Amino acid sequence: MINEDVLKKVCTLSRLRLLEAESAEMLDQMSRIIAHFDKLKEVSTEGVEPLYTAVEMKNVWREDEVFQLTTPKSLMKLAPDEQEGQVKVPQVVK
Amino acid sequence: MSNWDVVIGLEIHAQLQTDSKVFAPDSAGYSKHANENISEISLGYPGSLPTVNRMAVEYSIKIGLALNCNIKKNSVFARKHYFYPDLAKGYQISQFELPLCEDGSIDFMLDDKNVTVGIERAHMEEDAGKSSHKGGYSLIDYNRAGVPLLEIVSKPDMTTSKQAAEYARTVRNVLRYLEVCDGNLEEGSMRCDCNVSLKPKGQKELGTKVEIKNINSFRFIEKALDFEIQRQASLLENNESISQETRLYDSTKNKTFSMRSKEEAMDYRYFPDPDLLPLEVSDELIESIRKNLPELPLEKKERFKKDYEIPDYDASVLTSDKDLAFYFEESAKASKNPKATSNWIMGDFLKSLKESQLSFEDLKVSPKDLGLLVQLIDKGEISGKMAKQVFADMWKSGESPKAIVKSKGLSQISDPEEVKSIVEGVVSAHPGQLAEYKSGKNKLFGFFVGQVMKESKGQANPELVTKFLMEKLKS
Amino acid sequence: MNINIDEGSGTSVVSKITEVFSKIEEKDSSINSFISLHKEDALASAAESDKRFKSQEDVRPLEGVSFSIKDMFCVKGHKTTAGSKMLKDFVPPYDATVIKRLKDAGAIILGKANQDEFAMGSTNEMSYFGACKNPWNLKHVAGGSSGGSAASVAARFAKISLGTDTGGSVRQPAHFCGTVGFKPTYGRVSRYGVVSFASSLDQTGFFSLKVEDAFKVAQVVSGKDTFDQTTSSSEKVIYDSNSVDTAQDLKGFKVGLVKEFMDADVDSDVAKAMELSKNALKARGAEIVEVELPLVEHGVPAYYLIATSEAASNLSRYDGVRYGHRADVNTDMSLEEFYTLNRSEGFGPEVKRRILLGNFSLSSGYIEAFYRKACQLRRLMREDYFKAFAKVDAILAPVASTAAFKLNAFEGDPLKKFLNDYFTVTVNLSGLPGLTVPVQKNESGLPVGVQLIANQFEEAKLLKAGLSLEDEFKFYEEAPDV
Repeated sequence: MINEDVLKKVCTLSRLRLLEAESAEMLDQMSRIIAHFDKLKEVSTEGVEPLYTAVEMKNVWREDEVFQLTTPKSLMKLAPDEQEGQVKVPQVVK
Repeated sequence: MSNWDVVIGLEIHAQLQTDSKVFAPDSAGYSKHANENISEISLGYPGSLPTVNRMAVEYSIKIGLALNCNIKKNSVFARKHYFYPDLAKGYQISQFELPLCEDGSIDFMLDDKNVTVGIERAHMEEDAGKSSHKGGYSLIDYNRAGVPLLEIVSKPDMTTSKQAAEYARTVRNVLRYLEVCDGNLEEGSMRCDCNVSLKPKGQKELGTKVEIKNINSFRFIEKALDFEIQRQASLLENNESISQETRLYDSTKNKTFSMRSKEEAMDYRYFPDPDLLPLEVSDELIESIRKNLPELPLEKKERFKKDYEIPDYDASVLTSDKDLAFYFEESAKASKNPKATSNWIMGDFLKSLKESQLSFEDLKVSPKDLGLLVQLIDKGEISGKMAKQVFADMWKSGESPKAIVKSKGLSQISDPEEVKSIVEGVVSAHPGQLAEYKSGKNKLFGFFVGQVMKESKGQANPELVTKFLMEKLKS
Repeated sequence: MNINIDEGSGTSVVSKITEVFSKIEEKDSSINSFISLHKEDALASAAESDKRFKSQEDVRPLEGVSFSIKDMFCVKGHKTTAGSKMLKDFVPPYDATVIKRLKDAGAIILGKANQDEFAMGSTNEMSYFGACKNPWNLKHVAGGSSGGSAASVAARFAKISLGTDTGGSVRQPAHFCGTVGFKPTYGRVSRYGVVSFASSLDQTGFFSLKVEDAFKVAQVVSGKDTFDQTTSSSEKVIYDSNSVDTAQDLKGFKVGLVKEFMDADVDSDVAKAMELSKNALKARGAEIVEVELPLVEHGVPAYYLIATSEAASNLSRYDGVRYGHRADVNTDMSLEEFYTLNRSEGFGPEVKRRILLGNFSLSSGYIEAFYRKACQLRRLMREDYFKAFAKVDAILAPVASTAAFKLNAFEGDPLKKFLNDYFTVTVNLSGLPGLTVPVQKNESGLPVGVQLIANQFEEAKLLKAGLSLEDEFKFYEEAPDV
């Protein structure tokens, strides 16, 4: 179900890195957890519509009106690295 | 090329012109400064939640209906995951399995033939921010993050680059008619990605598809596809394989190039956004939008042909732009001669428009005045030739045609008695030519016309001149 | 509505709040129930409350009532860490909707309560700010993820605490710490401004010593919020005075015992609390009925698949770009490296494990068998609950199979820890309201409670049955020696 390669792929998708020792332990734990989760397949769910939100609710839409929440400046102030009012990151295209 | 069938499909992203963003109340408008139109919601700061903009839904339905799509009463917003600095939440809210609009089609004329292109789906999503590369690092501006988009996905129904470009023009025209998107490729308010693949002639199974992005004009759609088709054909002819990839079009080099080889295949992990309920639209809403749809280009074209008795080609040109169609109708109303009005618009008017690069709102000539100019010709008050001069003056000054005619003393001599006396004077002043004419030198008719015009300073009504000359010369 | 939770003893709010802070400063170092204190703001609000009390003008429903707030709720101008290194310095410039409503109602916010990182855990040991210990016995955990909330109420620091309950994170720590823990129906309380863990399961919950208080506060802060499309506009009230008036009379009230829960392996103190509770309800006229939830054994896998999938998605916004932890990066770094460093340093082990599980469950090739399958089971399980509630007004169930765990009981065995959520997670999967009522202390002096569950929007029934149990056990009269 899960092996080193799959874990590696999932780590990349998640943008997470595990140290070598962590990786072995994680693989062991995840294998056991996923094996347990896999028991779900014992239940037949053919034709059952998946349920994504448990409580039925009515759609309420927002009217198309512009209003200010927090000031943009107060949001940009939270940036770890900022320049000219923009967020600075490593080069996106090499 | 003859060995290959070309298969082309387009994905058009149309930015919807709402006031606020699709899932947040911050402005969707343009801002001169970076990160001014942002909020904790559009950027997904901790704890913030999206809410659906009613207008964005209505605009999307409008487009869907105009493209003859089925509008789904229950569609679902899904999250599409990938990491990129201009994507503030680590996912884009889009629609995946259940899009709002499905199964439509659109028609257009190309080289006198009708072409129908199927619309696979049109789904709502949010735009991302913009990164600028500074050499060594990048800066991110999120003003555009969360601006509503409708992604219109065509079926792979097109076989030539020309069709693809014409399809894109047609869609843009519809978007503009609906007044939901300004359809500007250069500024990115409409973006076109082309998918193209080649397969051996007659083969059913599709070849490997390549996506071309970064095309910012209709002309480049054609050029980029032409290049790409050529590139793929020569690869295939050398028995090389096509890799499924995204390529960018460089218009200065007229080439496509690979965007970057992706080590990991993208896995977007789509699933329904649990912060948003399924998008339910009622029959009443769909019907009220349908009822209020404006006349669309194709309908307008048919009406023009029927009501104004103008040829198919004229009607196509006149309806290719909503403002132009409006201009024509207003002019025709004033002139009461639609065909002549159409000729004027298709000729001098469009030529001047193109040369001046003015937009309709900046024009000095009102449609009514153009109609009145046509009427002056019809009444014989000025000749067609004079009218060209008058139009050029109108274009520059915006004055009414009557005022120009008057101030330049251009009005035509249409009094039959006056014309007749000039004709008689000219004929009797040239007995030699008269004799030659009578002996069969018919060409000299033109000479007499010229003399009459000279005598009248070009103002004699040409029809009357011809009529009296014929009478006089025969007698 | 004036709720008047603090039966004013005549002293000023300012002096009461001052007293509370000196108690916290003196005693919380060993418990660790708070991550941060808002002393200055709290005293300022207390002064406002005193003013309004004095003039008797504009007295608010929660006037002068002290609150601790789980660190998942954004409080403007104060650190909101979610118990994580990732957000250890994050100061939101905005309030959560519930916080706004609390402030408007005259509440006093003492500070932010400890919790498992991003609410992932059931022991509060997964906090970047250290474990919160159980006020009844410091060698035991407070429970989680809202451990700091439960402990701060049990220790008599805060009158009320706001927590979040995604799979039991309010009911279980309430059971461990001997407080009332109330999770309303999904959608009752706005999630806007509350750091998301799993959006379709998260719900704000309330800790108090007395049952009525939790319901009163819930009534004040619940209701439609235009900023959260998943809030409900149900007109059924949460705090129903009729339930209060008739709490001693359970004639015609049917209480379900779930066969599968009763067959489960639980400690004798939990079994005893169940027995006592059953008898107390019966003595007040309730009819006891057996019901079945045949799929409940699949609750934990279904819950964890859905919760981790949503969490992996929700937490992908924490990338160190706009806010939050950014590693020592240089511009030569590739983007992928940049993201990976920021996230690997910012998240703790439990959060990483759940992000990996979630992305596994959503990834191509697995999504059908895991995430989607879990959502199908979710529908079937909800059907089972609906069938049960066609027969009964409320279900009586254990909260957990044991009283509070010892510290470090689950090291290296996350699956075992997950399985402990057996009695609570299906309630979240079905969007139901649940309530923990403390019953008594066990032989080691640790509290044991029971859980009441009702159908969606039937909080009034929980209130009624909960008051009956409270009347029987009066656990609020006991306080830990802190």
